[in-house]
Amino acid sequence: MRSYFGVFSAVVLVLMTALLAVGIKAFRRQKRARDSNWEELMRRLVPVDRSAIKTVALYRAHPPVETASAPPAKELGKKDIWNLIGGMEGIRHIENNSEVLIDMALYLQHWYPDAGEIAEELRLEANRLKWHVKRLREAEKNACLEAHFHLYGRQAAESYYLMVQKTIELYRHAQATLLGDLQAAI
Amino acid sequence: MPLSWFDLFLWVAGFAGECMLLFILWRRGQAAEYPLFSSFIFFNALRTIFLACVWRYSLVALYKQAYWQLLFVDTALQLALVIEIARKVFSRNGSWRPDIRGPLFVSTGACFAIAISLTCFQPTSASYLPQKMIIKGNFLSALLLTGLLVVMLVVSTRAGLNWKTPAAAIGIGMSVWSFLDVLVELMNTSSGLNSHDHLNAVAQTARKISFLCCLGYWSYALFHQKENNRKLAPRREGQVAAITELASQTIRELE
Repeated sequence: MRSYFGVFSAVVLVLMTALLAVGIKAFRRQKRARDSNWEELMRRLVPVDRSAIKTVALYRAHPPVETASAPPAKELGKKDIWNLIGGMEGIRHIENNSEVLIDMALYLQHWYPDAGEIAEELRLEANRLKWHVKRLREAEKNACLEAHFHLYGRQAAESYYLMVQKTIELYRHAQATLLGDLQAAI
Repeated sequence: MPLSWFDLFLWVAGFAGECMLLFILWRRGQAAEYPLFSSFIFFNALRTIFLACVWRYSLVALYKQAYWQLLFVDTALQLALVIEIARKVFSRNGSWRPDIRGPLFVSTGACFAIAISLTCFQPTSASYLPQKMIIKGNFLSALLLTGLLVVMLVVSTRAGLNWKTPAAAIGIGMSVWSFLDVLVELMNTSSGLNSHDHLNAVAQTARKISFLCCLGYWSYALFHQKENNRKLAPRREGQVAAITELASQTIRELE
């Protein structure tokens, strides 16, 4: 009976330790998002080439049109998309920044609770972005990244571009004093 | 039922803490916002009064009669409190967020399965069936509470959902308390609820102290929470609606 109790206690303690570790990690992430100040948020943003992302993001919506007066515009090939986004390194930056953008919307929510609508939209868009990033990571693992990057990378760029636009618009209307910093950083 | 001065102190401090927390909940307008949490604290205050009467007038028969009801209400309130926090974190405009439903329900199911399995395998040194049922019931509820709160914390973090201050404070306090409660129940498993066992006495004191610490934390956190009820001016509301419309248009364009 004693030895059975010992084994049972050990199993429960291991389970509790695992739960504690997972819970502390999640709690720290929550606390960081909740208590971040503006400087911290700006520090967490990684520089990304905004015009390159815009080019990739808007390409599908506004494909180049050949006219009589203008020379034929260059189409975006797989290699161009890879270069503009910056490969997987660029994707990692985009993913990191998408989390910061949500925290930025939540930061604004301290003063304007109704800005939560935009925070929710950013969160859903970030989930879409993460889905595409996950596909890219799987492709990287299976050594077929180049074949899939133009598809998922472009969609990740579109999601990120939308998130940036929404965040900028939100700050333009609700907290214009911080808009300059934000535009310079993203 | 002889009680030491320290036991009496814990009892009185616990009751004072519960009353103070109820006052803070009412004063900060959180009682209506978190009715189940308020009911849980109110129930604990009432139970303290009831136990004080039982001790003072030696109403042991009444205590035995009411024990199961009190235990059932306590467990039900704790689990209902988890649902209350979950609704605050995961629901939006009265319905569960669609992207959360799957992971949350699967994790909750897994949590129930693990807690029930562990309880089935739990050894007890108690000789009587009611004692065994008390030990297993308490162990199950402590495990479930801990597991469900951690699951909620992890699922919400992965989905990028932040807990607002009162829900976070209540959830964190409950998590710490339920975590310690599992350890206490583990001690009870060994002692078999034998009131003469030293381990059982340590377990009961540890449970009371941990709940007292949680009461202190909840009171502090809910009293010091920032005022966060400033609304957007109607003009701003219109602008936010315009942004949302603009964003939706862009999405449609991209699609």
